[in-house]
Amino acid sequence: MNGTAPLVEIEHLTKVFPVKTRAFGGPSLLSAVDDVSLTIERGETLGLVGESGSGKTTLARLALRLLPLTSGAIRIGGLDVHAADRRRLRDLRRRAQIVFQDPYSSLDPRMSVGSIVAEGLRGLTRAERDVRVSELLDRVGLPPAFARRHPHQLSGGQRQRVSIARALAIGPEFLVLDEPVSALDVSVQSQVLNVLSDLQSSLRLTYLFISHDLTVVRHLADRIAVMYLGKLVELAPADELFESPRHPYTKALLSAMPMLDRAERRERIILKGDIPSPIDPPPQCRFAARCFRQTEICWQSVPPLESRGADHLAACFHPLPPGSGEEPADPVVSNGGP
Amino acid sequence: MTSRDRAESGPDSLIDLRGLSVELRMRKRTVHAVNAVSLSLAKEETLGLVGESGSGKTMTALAIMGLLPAPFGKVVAGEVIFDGKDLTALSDSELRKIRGNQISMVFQEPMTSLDPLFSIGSQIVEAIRAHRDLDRQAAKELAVSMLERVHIPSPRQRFDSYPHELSGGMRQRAMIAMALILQPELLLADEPTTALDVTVQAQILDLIAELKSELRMGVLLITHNLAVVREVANRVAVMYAGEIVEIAPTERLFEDPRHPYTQGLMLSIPTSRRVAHLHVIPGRPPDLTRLATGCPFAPRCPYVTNRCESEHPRLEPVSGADGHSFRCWNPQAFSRT
Repeated sequence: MNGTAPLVEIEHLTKVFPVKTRAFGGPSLLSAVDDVSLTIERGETLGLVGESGSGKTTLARLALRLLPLTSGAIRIGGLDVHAADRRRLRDLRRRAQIVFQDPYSSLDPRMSVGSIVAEGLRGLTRAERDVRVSELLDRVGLPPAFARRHPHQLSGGQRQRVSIARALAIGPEFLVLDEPVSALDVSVQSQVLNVLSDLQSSLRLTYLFISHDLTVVRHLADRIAVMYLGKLVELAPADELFESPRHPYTKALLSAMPMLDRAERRERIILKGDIPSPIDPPPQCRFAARCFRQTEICWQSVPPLESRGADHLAACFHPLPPGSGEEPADPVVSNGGP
Repeated sequence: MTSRDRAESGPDSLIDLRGLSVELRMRKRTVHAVNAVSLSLAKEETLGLVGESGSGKTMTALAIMGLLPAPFGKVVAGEVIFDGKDLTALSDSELRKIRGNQISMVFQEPMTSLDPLFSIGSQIVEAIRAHRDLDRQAAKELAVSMLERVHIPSPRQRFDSYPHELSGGMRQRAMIAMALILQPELLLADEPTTALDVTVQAQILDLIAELKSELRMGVLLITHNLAVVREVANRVAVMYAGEIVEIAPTERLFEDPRHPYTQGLMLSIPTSRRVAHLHVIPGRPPDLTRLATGCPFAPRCPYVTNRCESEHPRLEPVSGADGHSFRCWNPQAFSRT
């Protein structure tokens, strides 16, 4: 991470979907991602959190050109993802891969694990391919014999590890992990998280880790970006975000999170109502209607993303004072084997 | 039944499960889904039932409701005592009088229990009229007031909304309104917030807590999320392989878990102190078509002994710790490091 350019650069990324409305007149616009800029350094894990409708999944899909963008740009390793021709796009697919939430629907039930993992491998003899598949399975902690099994013979955690092995097959530098452990039981979740940390250090991978589970994100991420209704509202180093959230939405989100550790309990801020409609949003703070700190100005203009300390950005006219995460003085729970 | 089982059901006991066993009988094999589960729930108490997929949490709740999947699911042993009656011995029509009336259930996915073809209001009215002799107008008024009580904005307009027109949080509230409209004594809530966003989850958990004290209702909260349980439950029962392996008042369970499985679960969850590797419980849950003679957790247990493999441990109380029991032949002190 020293001195070199970030691996992923996202600039003023915007995506609107035209939607039909019942009223007369032209189509309305659903603002899914609005003017989001961020970078991800090589070897870094950027956590992306937000609730349904926040735009986090749309952002991930735009990053890999699984959707066309409306405006802005994304570069991965200097390559402009959305301007790339077919040949360069193939190159991009080698560099960047995605792992989805549901290992049940993302693996073809008719294919063996070996063929699933080897799908992207080209120009290898059968023997070379088998060796490579064994290596990849080993990397995710599965024995070579699993190559002959089929997805229905595997548990959820094993399937998710197969999805990861498949994504690794062509040697990517960048992995988008879209809720990779959300469908898994606690004990299986910890296995998959360990596999992801190990792979990152041995292969020097860069992750965009999307999750609605803040505890999991904090465990894996170096920095965390918080989205609300298509907007990037806060971006900070992981511990800093937890200890010193500056945006009221981040604070509410953290406070709503059930905590296993009593000492980390925060006074709960219950947000009123639901996330408002993303259709034709007015030019104002998108969180204003539910915010406990809003004033007139919040309804009149869009708060810019501004620096609130070292490496810490927040988009709010009335940011919370530093240290408002109420981190306990003496954390009592840690982790490790018995 | 042992004397200890009897002692657990105090005067305030709302429901008693006594040695409840459930089997799912498929054509070629039988799954022993719930094995000799005994527990009781008091009025105004929230009991958290935790465990991983396939541990028998949902089957326990379905057995209480008499809603085991037909034709496979059967209660093969034990009783469910509610209001002086054994629910497992009641006929379908007798059970229907209790379901939705004295005992209600809320599921993870409201779309599966709300009918997409009817407005939420008409579904709530139907639920009322199935059990109470009210005319349509009176039932509607009752429904609207309940929608208001679960904090659905503009309840009179929302009455005519169809399920797909509501957000996930609103649908879950509508389902809670329907479940609670007749003021049940017992609510079975099966992963009621798992499909919801965290801020909505907080709203729904608060709502359940509020209505619980208002209606003096007992709540059996089924979830895989230990953090949720810690926040809302008075007591927690941990299930593994269809049986209760540990049960204790919430704070006790989290501060002094005794069963190696409970300990393993707690260590598997990431916390603020970041570590390179999270704890992993090795292996997989056992195949419930074959019940082990020994402890079902033995193959995965770090403290396994010969005895664990041959003899099934009983649920024994912790001396000096009221209401804390666990089943283990070789318990070790819990260490978080």
